[in-house]
Amino acid sequence: MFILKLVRFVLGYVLFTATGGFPERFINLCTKNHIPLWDLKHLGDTVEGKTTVSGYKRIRTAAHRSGVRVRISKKCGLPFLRERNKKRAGLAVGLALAALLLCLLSTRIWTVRVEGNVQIHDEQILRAAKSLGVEMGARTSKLDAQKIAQELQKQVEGLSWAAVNIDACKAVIEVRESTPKPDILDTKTPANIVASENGVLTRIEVYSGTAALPVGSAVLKGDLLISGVVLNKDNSETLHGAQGHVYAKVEREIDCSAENTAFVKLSGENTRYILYCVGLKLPLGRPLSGQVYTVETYLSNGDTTLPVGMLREHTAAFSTPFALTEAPQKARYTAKLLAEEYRRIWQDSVVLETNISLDFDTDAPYARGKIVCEKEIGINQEIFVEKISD
Amino acid sequence: MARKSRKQPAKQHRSIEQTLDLPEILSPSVPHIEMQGNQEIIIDGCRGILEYDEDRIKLNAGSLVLSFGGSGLVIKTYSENQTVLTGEVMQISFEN
Repeated sequence: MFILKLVRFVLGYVLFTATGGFPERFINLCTKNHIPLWDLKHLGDTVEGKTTVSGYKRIRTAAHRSGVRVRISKKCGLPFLRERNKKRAGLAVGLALAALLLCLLSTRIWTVRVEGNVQIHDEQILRAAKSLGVEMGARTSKLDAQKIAQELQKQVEGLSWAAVNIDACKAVIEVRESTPKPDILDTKTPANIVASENGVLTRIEVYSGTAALPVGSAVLKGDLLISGVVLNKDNSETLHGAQGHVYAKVEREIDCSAENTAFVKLSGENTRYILYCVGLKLPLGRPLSGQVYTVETYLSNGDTTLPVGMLREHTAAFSTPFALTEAPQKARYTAKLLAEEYRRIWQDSVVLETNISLDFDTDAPYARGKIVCEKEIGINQEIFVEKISD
Repeated sequence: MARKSRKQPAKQHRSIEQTLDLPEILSPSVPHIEMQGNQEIIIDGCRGILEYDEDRIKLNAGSLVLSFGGSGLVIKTYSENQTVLTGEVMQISFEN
């Protein structure tokens, strides 16, 4: 039905009214003379209907013979529209440009989407795809999906399978991640577990080997904690790879202050805007020097992104030295340093005690003291064995 | 002579239909009516309009006269092959 309406619109049609006479005879005569009629409505004394332009030109005979008066109510369709807007050159140019743009855009990639990744970030896959030519604005005819998928699998580590599906203007990169192989513990190489730093032992968990010291012992860095030499019942010795966890109480010195810290501040920054349209870049300014980062913004309705947008290049240089002069600034910086120290300690230890003196009200604010924490201090140390052949 | 020549094909059709045991609707002398509820009626084999009003349409379908009563009746398409009526059809009657 839509096709029929489209054809009628393209060829043009006339809405007419037939008044008086014998409308039934008029319709029958029209049909006999092969004048197409449709949407005939009886409204009181008149019949309203539609016919083609050529049909209306031949309608007079039928109207005369049936005694009806035919009048045009409305001229519809493309030929009449064209006639009405004949003098509007801009409209024709606009339509031509729109058609050209539509043709151009339909040959390009509008959006690139990644599916199936869990551990690997979208950015990593998109960066690799971009280097292989799959990017916004790329010509679809130039892309070899199978080859790109193979290259993508080689370039991105951790992919077990990849496919590039180009559906009209959309490129969908489907991936499957490979399962990482588990770390294999080396139990065959003879090794001891020794202390990585000074402390007092709090817990010892031995899985293989012999504990060298009891809980509560003070140890220095390098002291033996779990021995890989195991004494058998017949007093012979066997070498093993010692395994286990040794935890100790260790102390951390904290000294945070803003004094003696050299700062640099922003010495200059530059921004350049670039207009982007289907792979074409129109820079609005001179190229920037130094380390440049780019923010890309595209026209989008949330689901579909158009390959039209604005790129913002930004560069910033920090080279001017300065020192903190105001007390609140110093205090804020000292507090930040202390927070960073805590964050670092909590990464691999559990804080047991804190003994820190804080003073943020003076001209030289500081945070000094000790933190006692529990940490695993055991590290593997290989036992060098010389093999003597018989 | 002209009448004779008109009737001959119908007779031939009937005899072929009877021989081949084909359904009656394939005969050109019988109108074929298709209905979509009471909103749209498609009639094949309509030979002319006898009466056309907003609430009544009477069609010549060869051996029968079809009469449709209702409200807001519109002739959506009218040609030698097919006639499509839309509107709210409440009554259909057949006359010889």
